[in-house]
Amino acid sequence: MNTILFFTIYSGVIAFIGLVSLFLNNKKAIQKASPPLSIFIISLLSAAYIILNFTKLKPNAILELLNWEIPFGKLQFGLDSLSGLFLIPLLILTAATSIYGWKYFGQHKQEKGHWLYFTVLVSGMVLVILSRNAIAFIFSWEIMSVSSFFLVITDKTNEKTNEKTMRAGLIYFVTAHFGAALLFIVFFILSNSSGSFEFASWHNLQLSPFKSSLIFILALIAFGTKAGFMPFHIWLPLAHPAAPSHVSALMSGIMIKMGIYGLFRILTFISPYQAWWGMLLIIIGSVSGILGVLFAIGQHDIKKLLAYHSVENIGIIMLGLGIGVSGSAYGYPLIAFFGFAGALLHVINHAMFKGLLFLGAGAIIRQTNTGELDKLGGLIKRMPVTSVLFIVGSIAIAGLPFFNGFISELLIYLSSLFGIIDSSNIPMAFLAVSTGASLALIGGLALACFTKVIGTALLGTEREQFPETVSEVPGSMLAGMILLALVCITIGMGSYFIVPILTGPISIMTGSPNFLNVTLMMNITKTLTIVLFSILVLGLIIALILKSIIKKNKPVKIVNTWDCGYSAPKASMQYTASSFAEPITDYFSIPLNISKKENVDSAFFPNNKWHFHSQANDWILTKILEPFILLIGRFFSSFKWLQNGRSGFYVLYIAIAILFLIVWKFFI
Amino acid sequence: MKENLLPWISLAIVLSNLYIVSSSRLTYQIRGVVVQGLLLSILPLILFPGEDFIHMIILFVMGVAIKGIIVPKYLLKTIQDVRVEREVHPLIGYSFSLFYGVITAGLSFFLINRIDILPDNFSPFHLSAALATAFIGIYLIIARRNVVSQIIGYLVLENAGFTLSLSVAVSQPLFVEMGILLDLVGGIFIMTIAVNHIYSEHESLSVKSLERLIQ
Amino acid sequence: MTNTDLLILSILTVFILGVVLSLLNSKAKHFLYIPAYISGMVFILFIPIGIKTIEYGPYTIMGGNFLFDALSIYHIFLVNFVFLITSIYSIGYFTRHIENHGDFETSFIRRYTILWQTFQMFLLIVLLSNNIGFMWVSLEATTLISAFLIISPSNPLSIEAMWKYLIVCSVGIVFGFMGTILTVVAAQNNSTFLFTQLVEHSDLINPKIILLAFIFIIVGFGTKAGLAPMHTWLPDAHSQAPTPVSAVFSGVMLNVALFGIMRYLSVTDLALGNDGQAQSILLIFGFISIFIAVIFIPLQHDIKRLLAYCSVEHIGIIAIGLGLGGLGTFAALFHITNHSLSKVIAFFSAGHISEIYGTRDMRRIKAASSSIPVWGSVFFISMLILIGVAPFAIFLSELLIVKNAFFDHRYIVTALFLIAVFAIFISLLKHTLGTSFGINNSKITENIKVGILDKAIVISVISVLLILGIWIPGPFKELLNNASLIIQNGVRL
Repeated sequence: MNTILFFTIYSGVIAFIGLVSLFLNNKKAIQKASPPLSIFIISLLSAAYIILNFTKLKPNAILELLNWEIPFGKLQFGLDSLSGLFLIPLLILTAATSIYGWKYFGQHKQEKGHWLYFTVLVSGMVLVILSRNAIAFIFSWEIMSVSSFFLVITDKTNEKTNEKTMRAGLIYFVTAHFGAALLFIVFFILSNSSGSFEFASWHNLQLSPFKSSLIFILALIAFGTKAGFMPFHIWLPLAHPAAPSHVSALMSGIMIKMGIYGLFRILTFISPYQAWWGMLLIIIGSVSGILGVLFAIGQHDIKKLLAYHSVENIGIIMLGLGIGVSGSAYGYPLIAFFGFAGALLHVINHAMFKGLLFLGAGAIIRQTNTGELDKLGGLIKRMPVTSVLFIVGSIAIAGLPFFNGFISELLIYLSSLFGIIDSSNIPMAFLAVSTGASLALIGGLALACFTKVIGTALLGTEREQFPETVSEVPGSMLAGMILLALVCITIGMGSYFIVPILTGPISIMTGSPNFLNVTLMMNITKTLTIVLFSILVLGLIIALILKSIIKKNKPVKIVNTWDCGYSAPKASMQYTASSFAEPITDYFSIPLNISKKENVDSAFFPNNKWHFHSQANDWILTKILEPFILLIGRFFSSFKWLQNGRSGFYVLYIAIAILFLIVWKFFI
Repeated sequence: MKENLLPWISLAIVLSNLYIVSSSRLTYQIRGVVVQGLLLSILPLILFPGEDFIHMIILFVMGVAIKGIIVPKYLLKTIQDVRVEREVHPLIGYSFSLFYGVITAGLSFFLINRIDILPDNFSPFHLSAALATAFIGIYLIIARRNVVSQIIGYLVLENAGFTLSLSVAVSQPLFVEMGILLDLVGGIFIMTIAVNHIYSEHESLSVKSLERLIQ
Repeated sequence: MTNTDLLILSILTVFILGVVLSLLNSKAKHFLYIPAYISGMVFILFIPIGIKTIEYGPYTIMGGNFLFDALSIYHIFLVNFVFLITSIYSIGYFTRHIENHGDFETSFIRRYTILWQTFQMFLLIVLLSNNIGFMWVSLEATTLISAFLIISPSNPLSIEAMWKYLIVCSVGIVFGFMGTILTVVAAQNNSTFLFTQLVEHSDLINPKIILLAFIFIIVGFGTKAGLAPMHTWLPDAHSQAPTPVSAVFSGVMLNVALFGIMRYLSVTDLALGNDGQAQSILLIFGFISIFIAVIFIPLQHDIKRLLAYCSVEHIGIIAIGLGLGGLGTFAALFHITNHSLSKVIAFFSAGHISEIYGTRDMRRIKAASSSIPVWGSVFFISMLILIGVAPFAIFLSELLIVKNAFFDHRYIVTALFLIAVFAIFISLLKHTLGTSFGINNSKITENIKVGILDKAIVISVISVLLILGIWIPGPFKELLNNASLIIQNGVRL
C-alpha cells in the first residue's frame, strides 16, 4: 500500500474517531474507553508500519487528492524520510498519550470535546508533515494551533487557575497566529519566485543571497514561535501547565517539533546555506539551552519546570542544526553530517523522554492534586512504578548513558569535536568550541535540575501527610509511560540499529552524504552499543555479586537519617527545591530575574516561621512585550474621542472625507 | 433672459443662505428656507427657457408646493406641537457663521469658475450657488445643536442637491422629481416623526440629550 | 411578458400579500410567522431566476430598468438567505419578549413585520436596479424604513441611535444623490442612466466628472455601507436595535450599499481607462475602516457594539479586496458571504447571551460557554470564525486578499493589512475569551429552550463556513468569478 495514502487516511480516521467521541457517553466504561483505545491501537500499528517501511520512503512521490478549487494549485501530499522521521515520534507519542488519557480524568470532569480536539491536533500535525503545498501546509498548521488552543483553554481541572488558563490560551494563540502571519510571507516570497504554491517547484530556485536570507530570518521567527526557542518561548511555560498532562506531553513532545520540522523543510528550499545562519542558530541554541535550563532550575512547579526544559532541548536541537548548517556552509561535510544527525535524533529523543516526564508529572499531579515541588516528597514509596519511570526520563533528559538523550548529544559533541580537530577555519572552530561548551554547560545544569526534582518530589519523606488515596495510578496510565520508557532505553542501548534512519533525512538536508561519514557513524554507534551492553551486563553481574556478599555478612537495620544530633527531625526540615536551587540561581540572578520571599530569623532561638522561597520570573513577556503592547494600546485609545456621540461631528467626518478626496484627486 | 436673471437668482440664493445661517430662531430659519425653496423653484424656468416646457412647469409647481409650502408648514407645526425653546443652540457664534457663509460663497464661485471639467452648456452661476448651499447645509448640521435646526440643515443640503440636479433637468426630469420627493419623505415625514419620538423621551430637542452613546 | 417578469411580479405580490396579512386582525404571536413564510417564498421564487441568470448570462427586463447578472444574483441569494434565517430566528426572539416582558403590543409587532418585509423588498430592488435613479431611491427607502426598525422597542438610547442613523445616513444619501446626478452629467448628452448603457458607452463618459461622481457615490453609499470615517452611526444602531435587525443590518444592508459602490466602480474604472484611481479611493477607505476597528474594538464593553465594530473591520477588508482588483475582487466577493453568515450567527448568539445574562456588558458576562452551552459555544465559534481562524472560510478569503496584495508587489498594503488584522485578532480574542470562559459567579443557566430550527440554522451555517474554508465548489467559484469579472469589466448584455 502507498505510504502517503496510508497516512492521509490515518489522519482522516483519527479525526473521525474524535468526531464520533462527541456522541459517546463518558459515564459508560466501554464508551469512555473506545476513543483512546482505538487511537492507541491505530497509532501503534501505524508507527510499526512506518518503521518497517522507512527505507522505502520515496523523496519525490506525491499524492494528489483533489483539485483545489481555489487558485492555489493542487492539494498535494508527500512522505519523504524527513517527514517520516518526524512522523515516528508523533505516532508513538500519540499512542502513549492516548492510552494514558483514557483514565486521566478520574475525579475531574472530562470535557465533552476533549478527544475531538486531541485527534484534530494529531491529524493536523500529520497533515503538516505530509503537506506538499504551501496552502495545505498553512491550513494544517492553523488546525494544529486551533485544536491545541482548545485543549489549553478547556481544561477545568482547577477552578482557581482559570484566569491563568485564559491568559495562557490567549498568549499561546496570539503567538501562534503571529507565527502563521509570518509564514504567509515566507510562502508568498517563495511562491512568487517560483510561480507555484507546490513545494516541488521550490527546489533549486537560485534565490539571491538577500532573498534567501530574508526567507531564513522570517522562517526562523515564524517557526520559532511554535518551536519555542528564546525569545519566542513565552507561551510555553504558560500553556504547558494549563493543559491536561497528556496534552502537555503531546504539545511539548511533538507539537513544538513541528516548528523544527518547518525550519528543516524551509532550509531544503534555500540551499546553499550561508555561514552566518549557522552562527545565528548556534547563538539562539546556546541562549535557549542555557537560559532554558536555568529558568527550569528556578521553577518549583513541576510542569512549568518541564516546559522550560523543552526550551532547553529545543536549544540543543538548534545547536545541532546550527553546527550542521555552518558545517555545510564552510564545506565540512563531516561536521555537517554529525550536526544534522544529532539534531534529528534529538527530535525523536526529546519527544520520547519529555513525553514520559510530562506523563509522570501528570500522574503525580493527578494523585496529589499539586505540582508544587515544595509540597511533594517521598512519592517513591506511594507510587513506585511512576517514580521509577520518572527517574528513567530524568536520566534520559540529563543525557546520561544507557538512555537515548546520551546518543543524540554525543552526536552533536562529535560534530563539535570534529570542528575543533580540523581547526583550519577559525570561525568554524570557534563555532564548534562554543557549541560543545554550551552543550556541556546545559548537560550539567540539566542534571542538577533533575536531581532537584527527584530529590524533593520522589525521595525523602512526605512534607505534608498525603491522604490515603495517593497511590499508584491505573495500569493504563502506566502503560503509556512504560511504552515511552522502553523506546528511551531501546534508542539508548541499541543506537547502532537506530541511527541508519538518520541518513535519509540528512541526505535531504545536505545532498547525499559521504559514504565514509555514514560508515564512521555506524562504527561509532556499533562500538558504543557493544560497550554499553558489556558495561550493563558486567555491572549487573558485579552488583548481584556485591549484593549477595553484603547481604550475607550484615543484617539490614532500619534507623533514622543522621540528624546532626537534633533528635526530632521533621519532614519540613528536608531540603526544599528553593534551597537546592539557590546556589545556582543566585549565580545567574540577573538574567533569571529572581524574586525571593524569605523570612529567616537569625536569632539563637528562632521562631517557627522560617520561610524561604525563590522563583525565577520570565521577564521577556512581563517586562518587554506586555508593556509594549500596553503602550500601543494607549496610543490607539487616545483616538477614542473620534466617536464622541455628537451627530454634528459625525457629519463633519463625512464632509472632511469628501473634501479630502476632491483635493486629493483634483488638486494634487 | 437667462443671462440676465441667473446671476441675480444665484445671488439671492446665497443671500438666503446667509440669512439662514445667521438667524438665531427656528422660525426665522424656516422663513429663510421658504424663501430659498421659492427661489429654487424658479430656477428651472430660467435655466431652460423653452425646452420641455411642461416638465419645467411641473418642476416649478412641485417645488413651490413642497419646498415653499408643505415642508415649512409641517416643520412649524412640529415645533409648535412640541413647544420647544426656539433657540437654535449654536455651537459656533452667529458672527462667525455669517463670516463662514460669505467665505464659502466666495470660495464656491472661485472654485467653479476655476475648474473647467464641466461641459460648456453648464452655467457656472447655479453650480456655484449649489456648492455654496451645500457648504451651508453641512455647516448647519455640524454647528447647531438643536434637532430641528439640524433638519433645516438637511433641507438646505437637499436644496443644494436639487440645484445640482437641475443640470440634468432636461434629459432626466424624473431624477429631479425624485430629489424633490426626497425632501418630502425623508426630510419631513421621517425626521419629524423622529423629532416627536425624541421629544417624548427626552423633553428637549437639544442634541445634548442625544450624546450618550459614545466610543 | 417573459417568465422572469412573471416571477418578479409574483415576488412583488408575495410582499404585498405579506403586508396585507400583517394588517389583519390577529394575535401578536401570529404576526411573527408572516416574515418567515414570506421570505421563504421569496427565496424559493428567486431560485428559477437565479438558475436562468447563471445559465444565460446577464439580461434585463421591464424596459431595461431591472438587471439580472451574476453579481446581483449572488447578492440576492445572500440577502434572501440571511432574511430567511433571521426571520425564523426572530420568531423565537419576539415570542420570548412577549412572554417575558409583555411589553410589546400587537400594533408594535404589526408595524415591525410590515417594516421588515418592505425593508427586504427595497433591498432587493437596489440589487436589481439597472437604473441608477431607482437604485438611489430604493437605497434611500431602506434607510428610512430601517430607521424605525431600530426603535423597536423605543427607549431613550434606541431613539438616539435612530436619530444618528437618520441624520448621518441622510447626509450620506444626499451626497449619493449628487453622485448619481453627476454620473448622468458625466455621460454627457447620451442621456444614459442605465448601468448597462453606461458600460456600453464608457468611452464617451467624461473621465473627470465621473471621478467626481464616484467620490460622491463612495462617500454617500459608503456611509450606508459603514466605511470609516462615515461609519459612526453603525455601532450605535447595531447596539440598540433588536437582535434580528442588527443581524440584517450587518449581514445584508452593508453589503447592499457596497453593491451599489461595486456597480459604479465598474463604470468609473472603465471610463477612466483602468488607471486604478477609483480603486485607490477604496483602498484608503478600507484601511481607515480597519484602523478604526483597531482603535475601538479594545475599548468596547457592549457585546453588540463590539460586533458592530467588527463589521466595520470586515467592510474595510472587503473594500481593500475591491481596491486591489484582479483576484482581490474575487476574494472580496467571497468575503462578503463569509462575513455575512458568520456575523449573523454571531449576532444570534450574542443576542441570546445578553438576554440570558440580562446585560450586554461583557464585564458582567462570564463563562458563557459553560453556563449556556449551545449559544455560548456558538458565540465562541462564530467569533473565532470572524477573527479569521482556519479552517473557516474567512481565513481563506483574507489569505486570498493578502496573497493578491503581495503578488502585486504592494508590500506596504500587505504589511499594514497583516498588522491591523493581527491587532484586531488579539483584542477580539481577549474579549471573546473573557466572555466565553472563566468562572461563572452568577447562577446563570440556559433557561431558554433552543428551538430545533435555531439549532439547525446555526449548525448548517457553521458547516457551510467550514466547507467553504476548505474547498469552494465549482459552480460557486464560477459564480464568484463571473461576478468579479462584472465588477472589473462592467456588465455587458
